[in-house]
Amino acid sequence: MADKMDDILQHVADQANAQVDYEAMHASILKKARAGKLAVRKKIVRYGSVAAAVLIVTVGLTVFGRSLRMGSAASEANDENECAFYAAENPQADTSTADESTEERDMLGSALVPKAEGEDACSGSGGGGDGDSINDAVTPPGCSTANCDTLYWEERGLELPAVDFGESSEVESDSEHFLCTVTNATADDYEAYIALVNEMYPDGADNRGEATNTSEEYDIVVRLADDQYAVSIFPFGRRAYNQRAAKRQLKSCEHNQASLPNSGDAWLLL
Amino acid sequence: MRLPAWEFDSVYNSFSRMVYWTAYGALKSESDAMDISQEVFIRVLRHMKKLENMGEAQLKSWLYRVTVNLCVDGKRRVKHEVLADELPETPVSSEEELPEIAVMNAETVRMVRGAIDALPDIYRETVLLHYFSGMGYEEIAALQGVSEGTIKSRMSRTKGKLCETLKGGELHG
Repeated sequence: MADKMDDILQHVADQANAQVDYEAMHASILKKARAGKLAVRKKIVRYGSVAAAVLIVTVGLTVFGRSLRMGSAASEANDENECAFYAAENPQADTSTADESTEERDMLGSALVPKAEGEDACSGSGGGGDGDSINDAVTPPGCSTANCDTLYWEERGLELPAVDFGESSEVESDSEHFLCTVTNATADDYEAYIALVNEMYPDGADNRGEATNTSEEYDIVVRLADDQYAVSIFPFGRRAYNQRAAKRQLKSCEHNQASLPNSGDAWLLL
Repeated sequence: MRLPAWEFDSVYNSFSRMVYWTAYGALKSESDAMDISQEVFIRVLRHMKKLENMGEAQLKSWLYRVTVNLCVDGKRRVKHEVLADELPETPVSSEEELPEIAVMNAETVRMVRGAIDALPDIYRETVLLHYFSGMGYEEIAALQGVSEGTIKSRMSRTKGKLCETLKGGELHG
């Protein structure tokens, strides 16, 4: 019975195997495997792009945050600078800043002191070695007192007496031109100012080089017209009219106050 | 000696019957067996680098375990697991009462298939692996982790049970 049963079972098994489409199953397996790989790639593309976007945003935010922090640090540094200048210009103000780190303040001072013309950066006040260097930086040359306030043509290193008359004054200058405009000035103010100029430069053109630390000649134009008082300085020879005649007219004005015009131009020889 | 590396096609041609009939034995469904078989061989493709240098017995064992595990998972999902029973010892009956192969019709084949499907799991699996997959008793014993004698015993009982079923079917058919 066992042999016959074996034959029957083998016959049934063969028929069953013949009904199974192994070729189709093989093809289906390969197809599904390819589809699976494609799905994985699609996921990589989909989530990869999302990840890339997230990465870009993260990097952007990081850079933005860093720049913000740098900006705030720079702002704090500027605040420190302003405080340093304020302290320098107002010695009586809060002295607590003087208690700050000497090293830090020295660094600020040395960074903020503008270099005066003809002055070596390492000379003068000692290169910011002490707190006085800031005061030195804002004091015009020729001033000996703390409250000294003169007109100073920075581009040329030329100094004129302070204007302490009129309602308001405004200064504009460049390397070629210096103009101080004073509103509501009077003829007396004009005369007094001319006197101050002559007092500051008593030897006129002869001492000009020493006073201004320059070898150029300048024409200072003082104008009084309709209560507008103007002081202009021009390098010599830049005017279109006769400079020598103008200087003679100025000399005449100095010696004869009555001839001083109420309006028009006058020239000082420095 | 280095073993020849397996390629997917050679793995498929050598073991597709075993995988299919193992799955069929567990699930008793041709379509489910087909799905499980495809899933097994997709895993073969996925792990081909690891499998290509395995020996034949090792690879066969790996395929069998993966197939059984997938079937168990599938059974859990559909909740139609049938617990294995022990077949009673069937007395040997007359050989002449069995149908002749030459005269077996489709109905007889269907009856035999039905009788196999009705067997307890471990007997059905043994029959399928031996006759349908073409594996020897020793290989089946290695896969199932039992002795060859156990397989022979199971096979004897299975044949007795099937013989009874077939004789009863013919008698009542």
